[in-house]
Amino acid sequence: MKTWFVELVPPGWQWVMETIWAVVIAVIVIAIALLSVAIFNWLERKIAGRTQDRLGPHRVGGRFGWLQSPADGIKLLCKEDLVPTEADPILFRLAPYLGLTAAFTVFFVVPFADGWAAQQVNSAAFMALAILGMDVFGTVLAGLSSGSKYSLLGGMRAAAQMVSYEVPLGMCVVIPVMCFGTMDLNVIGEAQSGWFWHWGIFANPFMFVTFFVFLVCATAGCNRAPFDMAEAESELVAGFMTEYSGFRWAAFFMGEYTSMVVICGLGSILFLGGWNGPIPWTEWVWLSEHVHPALGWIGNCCGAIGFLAKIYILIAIMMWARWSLPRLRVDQVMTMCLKYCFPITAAMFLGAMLWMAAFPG
Amino acid sequence: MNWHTIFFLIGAFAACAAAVGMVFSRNMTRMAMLLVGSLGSVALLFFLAGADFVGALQLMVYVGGTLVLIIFGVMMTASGARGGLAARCMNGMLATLAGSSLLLLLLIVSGVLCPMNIDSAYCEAPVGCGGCERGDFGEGGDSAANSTNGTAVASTVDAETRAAQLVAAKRESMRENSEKPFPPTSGALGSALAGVRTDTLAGVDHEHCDAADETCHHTPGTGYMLPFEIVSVHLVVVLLAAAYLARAKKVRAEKQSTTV
Repeated sequence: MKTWFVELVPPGWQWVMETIWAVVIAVIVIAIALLSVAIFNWLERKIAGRTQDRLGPHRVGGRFGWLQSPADGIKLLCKEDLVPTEADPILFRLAPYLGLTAAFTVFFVVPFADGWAAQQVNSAAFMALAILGMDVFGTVLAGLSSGSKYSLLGGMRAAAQMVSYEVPLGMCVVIPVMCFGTMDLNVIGEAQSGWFWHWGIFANPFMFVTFFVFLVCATAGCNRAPFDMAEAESELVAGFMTEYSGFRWAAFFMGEYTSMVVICGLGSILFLGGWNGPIPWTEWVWLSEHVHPALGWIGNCCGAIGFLAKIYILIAIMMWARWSLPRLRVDQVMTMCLKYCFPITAAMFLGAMLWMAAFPG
Repeated sequence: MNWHTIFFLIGAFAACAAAVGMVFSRNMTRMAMLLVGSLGSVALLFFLAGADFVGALQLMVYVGGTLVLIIFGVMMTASGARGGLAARCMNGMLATLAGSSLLLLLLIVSGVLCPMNIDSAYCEAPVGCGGCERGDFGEGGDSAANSTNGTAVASTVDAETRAAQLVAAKRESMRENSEKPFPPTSGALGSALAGVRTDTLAGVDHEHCDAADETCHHTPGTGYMLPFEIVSVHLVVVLLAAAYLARAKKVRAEKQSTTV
């Protein structure tokens, strides 16, 4: 597809087409992520409503209140843009975009289908984790630059939580990397092609447990309930976001949802087969690259849709947990990380290693 | 001039500008953030050079680890968080000394400066011999560098022409490499840490090495196993010490509470 597009023009001008191609792909990826944020905003309220035996938003828009998210967006854009006098003006304005940028940058290495990654990097899983670790700076900077003690304390709590949960999360990523023998996310995804029992989660019992620990750590790493003691919008004063309003607050919100999308995408590639569906139906209807490149392209499209569907299901599970479980105290959050998640992943690591030694191949 | 060059220039400029800004800033928070920018730009330069694993490591260890620690330190020292930082005269002198010696080392290693008492062959080809240097990258660069290595016997006579040849070979290999997709590095790095240097296995052509040239004959089997193990033992010691400190403090606090 890309080579066909680039070769439309004479050789001297191909860099223009390559640039156009790159920009188009970037815009598509960002549009998918931002559209997902809007959909998740609506879905979260709907799931909250249904969990609490309410209807959720239903006044704005049609039958299911689907215009709620655009209405919210317009409301946020119309809000007054405040910068406290105590705040550091440059850093206060910069902070919301740091987390958002870090979350978007991870899409740079995440493949959406076989070969559909911006850069096929040899150490993609490691790089995704490294870039995802950058979004702690947005939180820290928001807390430090607001010039308010509530922000400072909230920022410190949130940063401590995010940094702590990176350790078990990294261990959870190491286990599938060890089982598949590569850090290349594209190769890991392709290794799970076929029926759903080829997925990483069913590779061995230890991977099965690791997936659920991964989901817990991903929820906590995104500062989401039941691990959202640092923010706690309703009871405390929203932690590091205390002084933010309007569009900058929305940027934090978008950053949180984007990092959820990214981390669920990582989990879906590592454990749930990525773009390989539960049933290998694309092979049955000859949507394969071996038959014709165009058919392979259509098959990849179907794979990408399946990949997005898995991300949506994982995020729906996170929302379900959010509205079902009570919030953990700060010390309980840290206990969960250091006394439960980390030892469990370490044991699973050893177990998976022994399993691979006992049943090679 | 292609996109690679443009991104390199952007990254290099950002790294230098952030570093200079860090030195001249007097606000602790801004200094920390400028350091984040500088080290992050260095990671971008690593990505551009095809060393994706090293770049990710740079982000993970320095930006995501060390700098978060520094920022936590800034947060904990409440008065310093938003206040200024005045450097004393002694600090400035020490910093100048450390900085200039690092700069000198960097210039020597990168081959810009060549002190008289160091063999000029070492200066021109910083990583072992010319063949090892880009052993895993391409064939063309290897052969050119190796042929120049063969002439190393007459090093005292025509050092200048040889240096020019080496620079030309390096440039040629770099130009060839810039057109090639970079080979994966993480596997080679992993086996180097486990004790096998795959790059030297592939790249060294022993026939062309001079017998007197020590740098050309380092055995290809030795990787970085020993440094890796030393660092691991060191980390274990640090962990034990940290656990001991935390434990001692807790016991003391309990004693105090019982006496009260």
